[in-house]
Amino acid sequence: MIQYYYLGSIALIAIGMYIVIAKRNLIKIILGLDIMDTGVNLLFISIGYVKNATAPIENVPGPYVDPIPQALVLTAIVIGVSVMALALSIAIGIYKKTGTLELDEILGVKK
Amino acid sequence: MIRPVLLIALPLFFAFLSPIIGIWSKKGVRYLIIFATALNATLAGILLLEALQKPVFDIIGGFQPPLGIVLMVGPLGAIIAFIINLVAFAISIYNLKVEKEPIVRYSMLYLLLVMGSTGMVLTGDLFNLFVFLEVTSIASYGLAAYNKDKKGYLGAMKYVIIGSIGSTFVLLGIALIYSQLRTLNMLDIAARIGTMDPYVKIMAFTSLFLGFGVEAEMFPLNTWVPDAYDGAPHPISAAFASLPAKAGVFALARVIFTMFSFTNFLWFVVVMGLLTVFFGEIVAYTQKDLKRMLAYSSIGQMGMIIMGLGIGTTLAVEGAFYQMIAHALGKALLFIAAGFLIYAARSGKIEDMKGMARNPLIGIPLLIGALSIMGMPPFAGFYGKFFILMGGFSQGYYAIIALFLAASIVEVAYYARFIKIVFERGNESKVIRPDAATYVPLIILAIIIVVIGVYPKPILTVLQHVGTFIAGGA
Amino acid sequence: MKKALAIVLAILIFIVFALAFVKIPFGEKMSTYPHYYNPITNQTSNMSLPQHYLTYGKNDTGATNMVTAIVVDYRGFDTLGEVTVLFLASTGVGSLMYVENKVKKKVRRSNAVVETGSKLLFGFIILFGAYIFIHGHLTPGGGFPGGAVIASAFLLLYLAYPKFHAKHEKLSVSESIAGLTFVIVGLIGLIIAGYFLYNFLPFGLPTYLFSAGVIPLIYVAIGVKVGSELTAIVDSMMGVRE
Repeated sequence: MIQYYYLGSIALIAIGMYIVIAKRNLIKIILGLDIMDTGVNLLFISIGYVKNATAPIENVPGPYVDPIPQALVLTAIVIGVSVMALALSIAIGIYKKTGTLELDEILGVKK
Repeated sequence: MIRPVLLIALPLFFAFLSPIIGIWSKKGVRYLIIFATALNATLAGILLLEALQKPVFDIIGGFQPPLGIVLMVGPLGAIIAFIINLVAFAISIYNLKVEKEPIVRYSMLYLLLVMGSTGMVLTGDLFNLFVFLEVTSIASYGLAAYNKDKKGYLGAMKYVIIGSIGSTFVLLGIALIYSQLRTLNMLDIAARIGTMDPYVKIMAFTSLFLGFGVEAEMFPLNTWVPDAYDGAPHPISAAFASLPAKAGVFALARVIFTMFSFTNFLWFVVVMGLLTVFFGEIVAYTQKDLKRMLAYSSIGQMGMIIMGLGIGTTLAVEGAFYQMIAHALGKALLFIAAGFLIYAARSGKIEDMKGMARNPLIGIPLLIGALSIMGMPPFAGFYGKFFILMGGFSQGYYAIIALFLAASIVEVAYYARFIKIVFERGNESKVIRPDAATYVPLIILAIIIVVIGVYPKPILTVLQHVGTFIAGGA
Repeated sequence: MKKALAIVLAILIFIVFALAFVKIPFGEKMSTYPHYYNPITNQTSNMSLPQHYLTYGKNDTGATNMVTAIVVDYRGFDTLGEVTVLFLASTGVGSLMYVENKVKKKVRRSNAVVETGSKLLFGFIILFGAYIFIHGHLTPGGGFPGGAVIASAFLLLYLAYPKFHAKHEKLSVSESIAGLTFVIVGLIGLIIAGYFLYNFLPFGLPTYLFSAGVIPLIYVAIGVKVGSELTAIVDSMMGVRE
């Protein structure tokens, strides 16, 4: 069986990586980081999946999925949000100083 | 009897307390931070004495590992935590020189940077290590951009981008390990690492290695280092070189030895270390800007540490740890001195600093720090390099030794050039006297460097435990 | 050139990790998971870690929602770190967005429908957020989603009243008090039972509101903290307005 969930999340990570390296706009780069983050979180959640199982809450009859990845991803999401908030505020700061978000213009690279 | 968790809980308590104190007195917050780091350094010292008897395990929440999180402090972890907190205390005195607002937030970020680095060293749980890595790096992002000028913002942006990629890789590595072993405790992972699929194991190791390599300034993930160091406030440059970098490289050591139990020659790690050394030292030689030169030199030194870990014999790893300690002390000293020199010369260029270090309060510590980083006996830095060399020599890696020596000579060359300029005669009128917030941390660090250089026995006693560490113990 | 390199690197990462994940089974039964090993007592258990949580979780923590039991109790230290990360983000954004000479920006009023509607909804959204974090140990949700809902109520106010400005001092005081509560609960556990973050309160009856010991207490603190931190981040990013 091919694990579509795994492949899809890894594809998200690869797409995010591509955006971070290829794009020259700060907001796009930050979005790329976010896509990578989402990919890893999805991957983690799908590791904990058990076929025909439900959420691990006791008043629902089992079987349950693995609760640990969900708990870890909850932490990872909050961390991702924090990094995004800081990255965006740094981008705002760069915009205030230079008036642009294009890396080539900021660094004075000639095309 | 002291609990390792206090080293994390007390700084957190003070950090959460400081906004409330900051409403009444901003000065109070600054002194509170000095007090908190001093307290932490004292506790870490006591912890070191305890860990020397036997490794300290602190179970959190009352659940046995791997159900709950456990802090695992062996002698080596304890000494790195102690050095980190000691240097953090010295730098927190120099923090008094930072005048840019908002100072309360600056102090909180600094204290949490110290807390995060300490946590990375103490924890015995893989995911907890990731959380502390993020605490450390987010505090660093905020501090790197604190000057709020273009240089600072761009350095911080670079750091954020590379740091986030690194943490994605760490999380990927954790996912790979978890998917096969269904556990997160490091010793549990170590006990069952053999049951993992070989390819998955290698991928997990590579992911974690690259991820922690960002904080450990490993080539090619270190392009953020010069920009972030250059753009940050002076105390923060000093802190970057000694707190997150050391915690990151200790995490690397944990990954290599404690979790994956590699004991033989790791060519991959050695090659990465060598590349890092060469990249750092050669670029440092071409730098004209003092803080950038020190940043590249820091990359080179971290490369030496990674190399020592990669060679993997007891002697080489002892050298790597000695080098960690010496570099944490020496680089913090040099960055503090650099902050003063830049302030005195009103320029970051080395050539403008002619004769600026002729005041003995700044000159003598600066000289001690530079000689120690260069690896001159009898200062602390000598033993680190010597042990790494001997470790390589006893295993017969002559090519590596030759390259290592060549890089060290480059290092000596540019430090000698720098020292010659700052001690040159003929600019006496412009030399100014440093104030207490500058020379007190310099003298503290210089004394420690001399003491552990001339009388290395205590450190060597601690480093005797390297054998158990390599074998997978705490 | 750079794009080609990026494509090659992305494809390489995809292939390398896909090859690793092909070896990892998907959706397998929990009984196939490897059993865990306790490194302190040197004993191998007769079940895997998730099975242990699902079997003994209710007795160990008193919580009905196992994810909450892990987040707040078994791995509560991670959550303390996570709260610290969010605190750092709000502190960092606040310090980066700090302006010394406050030049006020002109803003336009929004229309009457939005203003009245948001006034009407504000209370309900806060109530819903509080409901989510108070019931974190019984139902899906908890401090982080609840806090985010509370912050969204404030976001609505920012949209409706462009001049609206949350008091930063008050926000940081509520942040601090919530954070201190978390740390102090941990330290009380350390003093009473010798374990940091020990669940020292009685568990009560499962599925009741007052159950699971310190979990609701911690989740309320987290909810307040997350709510005020996210609001502070939004407020700092909006800058000074008039």
